[in-house]
Amino acid sequence: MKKKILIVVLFFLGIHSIYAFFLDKDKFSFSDRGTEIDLLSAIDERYRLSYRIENQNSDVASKIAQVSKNITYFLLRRENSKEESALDYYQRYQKYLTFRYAPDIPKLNDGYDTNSPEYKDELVSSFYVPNMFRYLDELGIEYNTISSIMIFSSGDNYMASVFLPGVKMKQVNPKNKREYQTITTDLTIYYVFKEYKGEYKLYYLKGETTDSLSLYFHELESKEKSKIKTIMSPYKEDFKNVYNYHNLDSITNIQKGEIIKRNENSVVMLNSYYNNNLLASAHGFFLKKGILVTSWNYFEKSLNEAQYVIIKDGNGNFYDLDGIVTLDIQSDIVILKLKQELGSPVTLSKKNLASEDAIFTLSSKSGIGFVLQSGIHLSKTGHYHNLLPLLECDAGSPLFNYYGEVVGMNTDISTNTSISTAISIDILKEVFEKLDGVSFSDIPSIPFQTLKEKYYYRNYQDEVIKNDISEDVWKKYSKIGNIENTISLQLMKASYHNGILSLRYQNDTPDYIQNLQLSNAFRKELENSGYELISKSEDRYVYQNDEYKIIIMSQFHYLIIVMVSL
Amino acid sequence: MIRWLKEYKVMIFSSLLTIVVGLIVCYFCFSKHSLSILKYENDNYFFQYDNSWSLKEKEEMSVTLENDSSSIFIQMILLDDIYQYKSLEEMKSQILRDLGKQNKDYHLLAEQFLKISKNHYEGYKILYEKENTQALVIVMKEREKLIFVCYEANSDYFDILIDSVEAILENFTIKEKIDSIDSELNIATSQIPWEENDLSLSSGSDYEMANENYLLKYNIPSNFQATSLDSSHATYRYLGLDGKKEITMRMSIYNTNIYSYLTRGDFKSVYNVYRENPNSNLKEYLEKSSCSGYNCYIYQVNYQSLDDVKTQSIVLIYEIHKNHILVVTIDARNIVIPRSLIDSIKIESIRNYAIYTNTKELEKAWQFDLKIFTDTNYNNIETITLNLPKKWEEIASSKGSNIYQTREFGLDYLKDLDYHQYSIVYSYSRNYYDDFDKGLSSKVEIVNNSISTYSKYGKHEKVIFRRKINLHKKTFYYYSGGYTDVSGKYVEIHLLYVKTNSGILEVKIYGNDVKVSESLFEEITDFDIKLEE
Repeated sequence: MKKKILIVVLFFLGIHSIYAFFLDKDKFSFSDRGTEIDLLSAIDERYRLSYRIENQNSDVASKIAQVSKNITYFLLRRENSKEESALDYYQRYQKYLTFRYAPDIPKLNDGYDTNSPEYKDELVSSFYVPNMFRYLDELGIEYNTISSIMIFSSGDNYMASVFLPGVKMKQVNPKNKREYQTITTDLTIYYVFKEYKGEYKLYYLKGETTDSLSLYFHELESKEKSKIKTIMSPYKEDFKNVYNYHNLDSITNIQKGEIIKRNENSVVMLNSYYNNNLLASAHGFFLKKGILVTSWNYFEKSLNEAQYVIIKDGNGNFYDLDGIVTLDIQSDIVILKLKQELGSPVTLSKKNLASEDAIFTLSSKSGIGFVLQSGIHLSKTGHYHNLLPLLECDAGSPLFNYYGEVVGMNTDISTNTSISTAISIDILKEVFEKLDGVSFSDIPSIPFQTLKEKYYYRNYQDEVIKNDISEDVWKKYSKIGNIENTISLQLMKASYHNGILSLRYQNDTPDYIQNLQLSNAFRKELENSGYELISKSEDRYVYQNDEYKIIIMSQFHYLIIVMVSL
Repeated sequence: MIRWLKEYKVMIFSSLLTIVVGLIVCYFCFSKHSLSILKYENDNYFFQYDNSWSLKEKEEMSVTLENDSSSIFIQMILLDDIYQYKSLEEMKSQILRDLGKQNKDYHLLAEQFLKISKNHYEGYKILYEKENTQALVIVMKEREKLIFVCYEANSDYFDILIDSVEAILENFTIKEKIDSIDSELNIATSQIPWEENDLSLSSGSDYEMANENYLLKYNIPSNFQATSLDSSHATYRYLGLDGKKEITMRMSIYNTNIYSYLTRGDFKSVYNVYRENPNSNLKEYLEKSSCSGYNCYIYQVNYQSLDDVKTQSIVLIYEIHKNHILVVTIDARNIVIPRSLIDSIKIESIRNYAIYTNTKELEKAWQFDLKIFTDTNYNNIETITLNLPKKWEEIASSKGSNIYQTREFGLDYLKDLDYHQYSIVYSYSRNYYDDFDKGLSSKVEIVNNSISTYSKYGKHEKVIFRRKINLHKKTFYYYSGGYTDVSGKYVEIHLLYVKTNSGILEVKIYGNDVKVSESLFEEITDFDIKLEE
């Protein structure tokens, strides 16, 4: 009611503000309608890149994404926090089974042709599709949202990786294997589809939690040693059922050692710092002496938040950054120029990858030493998709073929899952052609600081402190919860309008002290003076008595208290 | 008069204005209208808001809520392909750059990543300020959709209305196009014509039974005597019936849904042989009921058996969980099964374990029991209590098997190859032969038959008797051999047999591509035997 009074009064007093915060969808560079002009205009025209990643067949991709969404909803339920009846479970299961790939198996005189691919496919799908339903249901998975669906094709198969963040699920308690414990983790479900009579049907599926991969990454980190390059065995997990690792398995450790030898001086680590705190890490590699390629996503984060970037190789050599030569946001690459013409350039492959080809990458997870990881290539639908689990810090690392030639650059589009993405070599070839024959000193670059100040400078100012409360009003309201003594934070904003008083306090304490914790004494005082707690959530308390309603809220680093006279 | 009006026009106008304002304020304050909740929905999203906001639908995918002191602008953006897979944290730099580009006069006060709405969307909140105005930008992302919500107000009112903005966000839902579950289910049922008799049902005995992860404790009349010690199934027979009357009962837990089980109809099809024979006079009923507090279906079938005996069978299917059922099959010859017998079967408790075993954890060892009936009358049970050092781990695949008679443990697991370098299988069974030697040779023969199936894969050596070994004051008969398995690895197999009062304990030790040292035998053969009547 007070709010209404306020609105009416404001209207008649003619207080109208013209609000002008702009959100023009055409001016967002990530929008499907958006364009990126500003940043590219800073690049020397001669070095602007024209290569465009071809989009995958969007019709097929959107069909598979829709099927994947439906399957996920039937596999894991939508209302997953409520108890499900046996009948609902049965109907959900029946619906889920309608997505199963059940090919027509050729018949011979004495029955089905057990050597036919259809028969073998039927064995796989009739086993995995129903059993995974039961297995995942037993884990009592509760999820909130499907955060992303990535689609790619490989041979006759289409694969969708469906990412579900912050999933709650049961897991065997390692301390007492008879009991479950509930964990919160990110879950990726991989669906493999085959086409059947114009529809995409579920042939195989598997689930993977971040926890299961973290063991693999932990092992990688633990094997890194200073100035030594280690060879790691591939992470195969359950994809052996769908993909052939023969090309990879036939490569010996001696051959892998050759890939390292050929490239050990070509790969660098880039670390960005703010006040000596590490903010972001990535990798890069030399295209020419003194010219590096790395991930634009990483570099933009550095422009946005870091003060400087340190570049070092696996042998402990440090390099000074001169500036940015060119970039391509869509391809996620930026070409950097060093101050010195140093480094050993990689060799770019002339051949594209084929499905199930062996692939390798050389990177550092811990920052101590470098490891060679191996995997297999699945497909190229816009990006390369590889069965090669990577971390965010692997963005910008080179992707090698069997000969140790660069075939692509790893990106951070899909990390912490079995499948990672890389950009293909085609754009690197364009960069290479533009730089070919140009002497190092003639290659122009924009200094890091210049780009940062022009496009990433944040207009940080101290917040305006404003207190419009009259002494009379404060005398009346400060008695509530003895607020003057129970809240000892700096008051940033205070206003009063027709019985509604709002106070915004700044929490200057260390991060681990939550805003609402700082209202404990105030809340206790309210309770002691007869206020009833009428609602409570993670970031909001509401108290009330006959005269006032008190709302205590947490926003950013503020504690906001609104007192409403009833 | 006119002059008077002209003279006091300011005062009159002010008074009238005050009256009008007062009337409007009174109307708003004292009218019966209360704050009502409205819903906005378009093709892409929906949310709820209270009527203090007025809504203006703008262009495609955007909407504005306004009152006189603030505004909320909601806009959906479809992301370019590559951004669909990125998190908001990964997009942060670009979001800040693009917002900054469009709003150069605003300076950033605070930012935060968090989950937004009851749907837990990945979210990013940014607070901007410009002179006396504040703008709160909330970004929510779901796959290819990015929702921007911008709440902007004069600093004086910003905090007052923020609770109302949070309420809008809490209910914000991005719409999904999902198939509906439309399958129908019709299970025809009928009333069973129960017949009562004077079957004595004494007070109950407690039992337990488990499949891999559901432990069921139940109680049945003590007139029924257990005739098998299988931990995942149980069989009983009714004692003390006259003449040719006979009642037996089988219980099993299955990891299946009750409706899948009913529609599959296996429990009915086993009687096909009688159904197809008109002389059997088969009559059947399926009744939906409640049994011991659980939903259940009761199937009754009456028929003349092949040996011309009047037979009645009851299949009780209990819905103990959405995906677990208890199936009790009661077969009666020359007697009918009264409803009172069904009612006397009590489910005491059901518990979901990660995996159920009866293994106890001691300070340094696992302890578990293996059991056998010592006689054909099922009167006595012999129990072996085994202790095994904790470095051994129970192999999951064996946990669902009959834990009273078989257990499997492994040591030194190789993750890449997915096997343990060492494994042990304990099997305890009654000796059905007159003497120990005959029982022993029959067990060795089974192992050697199994080894011979591997002859095509490489080296294979049948197990042969090596010698007697004394371990823990007991005499074990030691055999060993080996074979190459399908994956090409050589598997050493060592067998230790020991005679108990009524049975034989077999301990099989496997070495997968490793040598098994006899020093291992001591730690894996520590057990006691106990006889229960």
